[in-house]
Amino acid sequence: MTDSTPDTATSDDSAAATDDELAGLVEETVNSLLKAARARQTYVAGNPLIERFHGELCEKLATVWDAMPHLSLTVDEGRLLWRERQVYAKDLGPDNFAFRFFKDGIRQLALLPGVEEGELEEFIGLLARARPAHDDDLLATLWHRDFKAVRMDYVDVSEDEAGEVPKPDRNAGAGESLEDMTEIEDVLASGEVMEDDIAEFADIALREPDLLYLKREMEAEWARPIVHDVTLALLDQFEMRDQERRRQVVDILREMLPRLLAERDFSNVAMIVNELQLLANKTGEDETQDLVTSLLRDMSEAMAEMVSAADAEGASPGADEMAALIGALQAEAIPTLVRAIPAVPNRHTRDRLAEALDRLVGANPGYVVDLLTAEDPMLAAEAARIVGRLGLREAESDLIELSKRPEDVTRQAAIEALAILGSAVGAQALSTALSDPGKDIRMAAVNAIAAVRPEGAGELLRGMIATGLPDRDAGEQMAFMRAYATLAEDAAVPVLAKLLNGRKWWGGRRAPTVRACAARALGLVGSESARAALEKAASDRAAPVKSAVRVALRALDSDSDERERLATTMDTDEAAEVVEDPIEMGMLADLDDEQGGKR
Amino acid sequence: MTGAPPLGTGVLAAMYGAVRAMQLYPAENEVVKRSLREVGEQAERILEHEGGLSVWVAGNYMFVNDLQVRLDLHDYAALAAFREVFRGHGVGRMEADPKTGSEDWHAFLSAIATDPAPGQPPLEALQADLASRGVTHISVGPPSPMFQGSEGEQSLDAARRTYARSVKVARDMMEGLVLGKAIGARRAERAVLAVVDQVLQDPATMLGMLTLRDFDDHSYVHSVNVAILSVALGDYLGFNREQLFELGFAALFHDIGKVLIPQAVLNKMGWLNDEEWRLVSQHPDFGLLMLFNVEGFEDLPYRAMLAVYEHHMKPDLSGYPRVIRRRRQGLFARIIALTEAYDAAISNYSKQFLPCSPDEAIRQLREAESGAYDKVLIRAFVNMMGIFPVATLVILDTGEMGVVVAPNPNPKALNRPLVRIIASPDGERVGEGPIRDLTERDPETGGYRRSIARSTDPGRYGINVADHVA
Repeated sequence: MTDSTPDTATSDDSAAATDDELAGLVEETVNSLLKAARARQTYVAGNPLIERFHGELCEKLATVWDAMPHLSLTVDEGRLLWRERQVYAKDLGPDNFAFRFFKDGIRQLALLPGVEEGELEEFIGLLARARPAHDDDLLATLWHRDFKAVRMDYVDVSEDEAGEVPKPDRNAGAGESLEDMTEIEDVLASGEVMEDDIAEFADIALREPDLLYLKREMEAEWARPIVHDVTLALLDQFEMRDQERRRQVVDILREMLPRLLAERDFSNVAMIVNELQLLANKTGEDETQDLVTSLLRDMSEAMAEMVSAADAEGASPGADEMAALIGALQAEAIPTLVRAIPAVPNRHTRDRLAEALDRLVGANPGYVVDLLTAEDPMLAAEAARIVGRLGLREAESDLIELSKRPEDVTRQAAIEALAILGSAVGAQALSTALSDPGKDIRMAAVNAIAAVRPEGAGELLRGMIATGLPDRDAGEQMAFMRAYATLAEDAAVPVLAKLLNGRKWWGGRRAPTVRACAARALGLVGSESARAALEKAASDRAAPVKSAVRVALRALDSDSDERERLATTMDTDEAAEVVEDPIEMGMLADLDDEQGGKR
Repeated sequence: MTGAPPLGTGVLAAMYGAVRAMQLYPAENEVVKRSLREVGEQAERILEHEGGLSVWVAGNYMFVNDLQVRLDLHDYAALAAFREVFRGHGVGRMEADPKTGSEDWHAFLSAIATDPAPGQPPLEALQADLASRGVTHISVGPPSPMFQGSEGEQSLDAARRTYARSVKVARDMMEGLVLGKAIGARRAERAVLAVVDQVLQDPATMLGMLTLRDFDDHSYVHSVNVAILSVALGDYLGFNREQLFELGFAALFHDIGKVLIPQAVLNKMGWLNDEEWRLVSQHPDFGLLMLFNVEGFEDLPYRAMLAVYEHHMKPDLSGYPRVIRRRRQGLFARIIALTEAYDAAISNYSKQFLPCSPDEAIRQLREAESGAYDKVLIRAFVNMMGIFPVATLVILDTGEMGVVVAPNPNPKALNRPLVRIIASPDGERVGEGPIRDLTERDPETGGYRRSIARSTDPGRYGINVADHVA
């Protein structure tokens, strides 16, 4: 490609002296340029050195423009030349900037005034990013960028040999005579001439409406949704061609869909999944249906992942797109949905995904059951919750195993699920969990036992409660006693009465919290023997006990629902709130502290 | 080199704005004054930076300080019209020195805003007018001929190398795809950008390469020819460089799907039967699917895929492949449809039809059935190629025989191209004869010195037109 950028070389002595000075200026400018490029390579964006070197370069260029209309450099293998004077040289290697240009065929490089007004920074960036070791094509990069103030000449250094390039024979036939003169003689004889009046071609001239039309067509071409239109073409092919073509189209879509999802192009993805499913149904052919289902299965995980992730970014698909994507999800999406749903911020999206999950799990329970053995404790726990919610009894043995895992979250989820399933098999695990190291698991277990009422649980609880549960906090004590009262009913009164009114061997009483919990539990039992035990403690000096007894006696006079309500106000931390007086609450806390801070 | 100074388009647009203002309003009108100020400011910036301002016109191209001004469709109309103002006055080149002031610009633009008087060579009249107005810092001169001596030969060498290399790349790409090998993205990219650069530098020379038909495999030659024609048309329409690249790439691979069609079918003499036609008509489908196997490109070439898929659809969608989901045949596809038809018409690829002369191919396009091609694009193509495109063998009314080497720089002289004389009226071959501009007039009679009597078949005379244009 020839260089059309004129140069200003002259040859007399004074110009030669000037040229030496100018060469020095050019050399400094080139060094400044390369320094700026190296800084971009070395330092992170925003480093003040980058800005400093860039500023120095602009200053140099300003001086150059005073001296010459443009800065043209010749690129040699390891050197840069200005008017045949070397202005840069370095040993050949990846650090040699001249070589970077040279290896890609660039032979002339020119910077024009105005380059520093925007293009220079980008040019330096491209130069810095070009990686010789990776065979980046600097020529193509610069070509596509189409800088206005950075120009280059290049030669094609590709390995292609053009082969034998036909050379014309400019003097072919020179001196020879045409054998056939018929036409020429006809022309001379007739004086014929092609119509000079090109009225025949009057319709050829491009008129203003034509220019406007072309302008519109250009704009339409560049505004065209090319991915969408390519997708339409693929779907047309799927619809009108044979099974082999359909397989090809599906293979292409299998590569294309992840890319579209990564780009959050939900519109095209939704269109693809919708259309494919419609087409599969339309053909009614099993093979086509299998083809489409196979694709959707392969894509389900990615679709679920991207919908969730997009929501977190505030870039959720539209309602129709969401419906299409979620509706197309297959069982393979279950693990992703289980993992992702809890973290989806948008409630609407979360609900839609949860609906999809329920649908998928309902049709494919095995996927969820398999997740109970997942290494990820959160995943396993969530799977347990789903199993419980859906009442999947076939998962019981896995839940029991899950209840033995080291993570609190998995054990708790397993216990809660077993509680929901409420089977005898699971009850053993529940009983075991009453002694779990984790409080939440123990609470879950005791609440579950109260609901499930497994055989033998009452005895187990009696044995635990009889100790007064000294190592449990008030909330847990209440939960256990409540459960015991529920299970044993009137049979629970002796143990509870003993806790309330009994004395230890040395004459002392149980801690007020224990006694208060026992009083509440007696209120839940509601029998005459329970009342007797409560009345005996009616004038107890410990305010929490007195208060609890009062509440319990009130419960005895209430209906069963009210009794339950009054009893359940003693759940967990509300056990401490049995005392209405804050001073008494402080006394309660002190008493707990005496017991070694069991809360 | 490609590209233009940042200010080139601006100064030309300002000049044209001033000319229009002067044609519409009196000199004291504020619009005129404002437009002249704009010219002064734009010109001053260039003069300060570059020490001079030259504008010259060559063919359909304009240059400011030796650098081509890239037109796009947004400024196409204005700048094309300004180009005509220059041509109307016979101006090929304008030079302004650094001392040019506002009075000079006013006088110069006022002079060219006035239509040239009939009966006098317009350039001479303008030069006299400028002298009488005291304009000394702006000079005007005639157009430079499109073909230039040794510089032209260098351009030809570069064009030939680019052409031959592109054919090789096309062959390797397509054969590689059949064998399941990854396309060398870099090679394809380099081939296309070289074609684009060659077309931008010298479109007529590159169009002359279409006459090179000494390669073995016509399929690949055809692909390269369609790429050249498409890029040339895109350039004529004002596509920017990146758009030309995408168009060139799409055109180079427009028939890529044919590699999956048995050669026996492609090379069959005579008409194809139904089954053969069904196979051949699927080459756009095959091409679309094959382009998904392209490796090495940062992004999938979606626009090229659409052009490949749609290039036989026709604007009215009556072509193939069948359209089920609503779409329009894209602009790229319409361009390629046209250029492919032209190259097929003038070549001997088709086993069903004999090749015709370039001018006959132009006529066929113009007479093509409604809906077969984009009518406006046909007009643009004919304007670009001329009634007698490059490589047409013609007999002149003088009895001379010649080969068209370039369209006439005057866009109104579509039927009066530049012709290289290769035989005298007595039939003697002259080898590399002189180039004649058919708009040249006899000063005594005022009539044209030479006109085309008819076009003819080079085969009849054993003439290889490539010897004179490629």
